[in-house]
Amino acid sequence: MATEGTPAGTARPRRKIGLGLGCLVIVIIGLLILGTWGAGIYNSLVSLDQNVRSQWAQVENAYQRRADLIPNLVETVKGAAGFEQQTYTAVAEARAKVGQIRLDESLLTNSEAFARFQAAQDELGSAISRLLVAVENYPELRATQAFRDLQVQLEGTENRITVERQRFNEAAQAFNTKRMSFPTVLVAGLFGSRFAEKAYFKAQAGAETAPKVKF
Amino acid sequence: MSGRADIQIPPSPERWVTDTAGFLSPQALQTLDARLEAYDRQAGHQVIVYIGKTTGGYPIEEFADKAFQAWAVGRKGLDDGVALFIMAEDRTIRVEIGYGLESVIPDILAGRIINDILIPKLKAGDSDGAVNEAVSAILRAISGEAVPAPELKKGRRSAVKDILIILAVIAFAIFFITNPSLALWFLINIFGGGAGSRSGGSWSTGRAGSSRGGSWGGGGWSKSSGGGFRSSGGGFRGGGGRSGGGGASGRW
Repeated sequence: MATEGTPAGTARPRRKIGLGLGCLVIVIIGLLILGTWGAGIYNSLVSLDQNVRSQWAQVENAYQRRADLIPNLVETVKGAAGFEQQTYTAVAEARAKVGQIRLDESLLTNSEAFARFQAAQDELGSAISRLLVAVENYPELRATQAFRDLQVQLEGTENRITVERQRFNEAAQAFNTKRMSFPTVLVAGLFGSRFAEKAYFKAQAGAETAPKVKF
Repeated sequence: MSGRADIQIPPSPERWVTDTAGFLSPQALQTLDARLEAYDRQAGHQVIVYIGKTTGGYPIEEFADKAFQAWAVGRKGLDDGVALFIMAEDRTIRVEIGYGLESVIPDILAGRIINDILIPKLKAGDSDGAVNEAVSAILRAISGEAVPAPELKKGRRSAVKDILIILAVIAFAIFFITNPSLALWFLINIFGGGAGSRSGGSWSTGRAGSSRGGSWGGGGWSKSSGGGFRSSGGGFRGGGGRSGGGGASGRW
C-alpha cells in the first residue's frame, strides 16, 4: 500500500476497486441464485411435509372413527345372553391401550413410537376381529338390525383405515425420497429435525390385505 | 405393498354406466345411463355404475378405491361422487362414496342398499331391477342433502377461458405501454363501475344467477351450456373427486 503514493500508481487502485466491485456483484448474484434455489427446495419440502401431516390427520380420523364405534359394539354384544365376556373385555382393554398413546406430530418422525402406535392399533383391530368371530355363534344377535349396521360400520372403518394408511405411506415416501435425494439433503440438513425422515406403516405380518371383517 | 400395485384398473369409463360383463339388458343400460347423465348435468353429482367380470383376485374394496382415485369421480373440492361396482363373476358389490357425501350416504345406508336391495334382487335373478333400484336409492339419498352448487361445471370450459384471459392480459399490457393514462382510466372505470354494467354479458358475474338460470330450463343459457359440454367431451369425465374408502361392500 505504501508504494501506491506515486502518481503512476493512481490507475491501479481504481482497477482494483473495479475488480472488487465486479467480484462483489458476482458473489451477490451467486448468493441470490443460491438463495432462490434453496428457498425453492425449502418450499417443496414444506409442501410435501404438509401433505404428510394432512394425510396423517386422515389416518387419525379413521382410527378415531373405529374407537368411537367400540362402546356401541361392546354394548350390543353384552346384551346377548351368555356372551363370552373375555372377548369384549379384550376389545375394551385394547381400546384403552390405544387411548393411552399420546398423539402428536413427533410421532411421525419417531419410528419407535410410531411402531408402538401401530402395534396398539393393530391389537385393537385383531381384538375386534376375534369378537366378531365369536358373534358367529350367536345367530339371533347377528340377525338384529343393530348388529348388522354395526358390522357394516366396522367394515367401512377398517377399509378407511387401510386406504388412509396406504395414502399416508405414499405421502411419507414422497417426502422421504425428496428429503434424501442429493441436492435437497443439503438444504434439509440445515433445518435439523424440522425435516426429519417420516415413519411408515408396516404391513402386518401375514396380512397383505386389510383385516377382513367378513362373514 | 408391491403386490398392491399390480392391480389392473381399467381406463376411465366413457359413459356413466359401463357393463363389460353383459350383466344388464341393453335398454336398461341405456335408460340408466341417460338418467345418470342427466343427473350429472343437472345436479352436478357424478354417480356412475361399473360392472366388470372380476377384479382378478383382489378385494373389491381395493379395486374400488383405486378405480375411484384413477377416474376421479365427483367434482374437485366437493368430492361428491358415488360409484357402484359390481363384479359379475366374483359376485361382489361395492358402493364407494366420495368424501363429500359420506355424511349423506353413511356406511349404514350404503350397507342397506346392498343388503336390502341389491343382494335379494340379484339372488332372484333380476339384475336390471337390482341396479336400477340401487341407483334410485342412491339418488334419493343425495337429493336430500345440502351440497348443491351445480355451477362448478365451469372447469370444463376453463381451457378456452384461460386462453381468453391470457390474451386479454397481453392486449392490456400493450395498451398500458403505449397509452398508460388511458389504460389507467380504463382500469379505474372497470373496478369502479361495479357489476351492474357488466352483468349482462359476463359469465363470471352471472354466478348467482346462472344456477337459477339452469333450473328455469329451456332458456338460452342452459341450451348453450349443454351444447358446450357435449362438444367438449360428450361422455363421462371425472371431475377430480376423491374418496377415502367410505361405503360398503357385499357379495351374493
